[in-house]
Amino acid sequence: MADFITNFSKLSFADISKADDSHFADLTNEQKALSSQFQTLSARLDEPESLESLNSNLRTKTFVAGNVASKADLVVFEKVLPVASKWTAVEDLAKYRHIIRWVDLIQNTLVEVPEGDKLKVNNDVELPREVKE
Amino acid sequence: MSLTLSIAAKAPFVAYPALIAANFVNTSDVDSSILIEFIDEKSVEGSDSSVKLVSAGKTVTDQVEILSILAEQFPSVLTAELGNVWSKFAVDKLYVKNFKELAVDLEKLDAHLNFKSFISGYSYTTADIAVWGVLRANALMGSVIKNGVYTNVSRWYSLLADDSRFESVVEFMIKSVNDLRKSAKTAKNGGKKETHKA
Repeated sequence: MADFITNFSKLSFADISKADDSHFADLTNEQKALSSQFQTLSARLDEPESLESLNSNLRTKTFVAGNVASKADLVVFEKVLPVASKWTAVEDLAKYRHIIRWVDLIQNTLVEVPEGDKLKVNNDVELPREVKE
Repeated sequence: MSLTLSIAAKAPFVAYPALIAANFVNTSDVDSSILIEFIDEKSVEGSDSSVKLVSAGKTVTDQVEILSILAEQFPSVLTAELGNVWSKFAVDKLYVKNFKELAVDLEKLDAHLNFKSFISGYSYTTADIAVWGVLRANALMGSVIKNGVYTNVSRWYSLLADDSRFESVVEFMIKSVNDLRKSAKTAKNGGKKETHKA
């Protein structure tokens, strides 16, 4: 996987809509389902459940569709970045910690984001440990 | 340059980090490869360590140092962790069978991975190899990882487990050690025969 990231030439943020599945490795059926589910969901991020569902998905998966990057990472990233940039309260950082981790991965591997638009991640913030329900 | 890595298969904690790093080199397209030998003992010859690397006549038994040497010799394959902070943490703190003790350090690792997909930066370094390999060797960890007790640790661990270069070393070792035992048995039987003849 890391080899894939190293070899992937970053897309510019403005070109995300041009990306297609051919940029990525083939997905399993389960990964395809997740990819399509979250691309659909990214159209309604104004509903609070959408962000919670994305965060919860990224709790166990490094990328949206699993342990492999896919087009969904780009499509969802484009929608999430402006929303995530507004989170500053520790409460929000803790609540959406998995989305923040993933946004930071994508903006440093798959997508070239103009410096001023990048999500600033403060690694010094102490978050309470997430206890499994 | 010839490099030989010896791994003690009966060590309380198998030296998976060094084995994974060697596997990264041996499965890459670089020209040289590392000779890996397994020893059916608790430690390697001439030392109480579970691992040793012989490189140009020099013997190294410290696992963190072995990872550094391999990263230095194969920079296109392995990225060294700056300062070896987490590599040392893995070897010093996570080779522990007392769960109460281990839990404190797993919390530290989990907190470190809050906003991180890899231990350092945005791709593998020897830190990921060190920590993953040590956790893989620790029999306490299987259920802890599976049950997601430390959510970030479990997510990061599963990403690496899905990379064939990590998990495959376990099977490789089991197979190699079985072959070793078979040939040792054959040699022993052969020996007996000779005694019988005489």
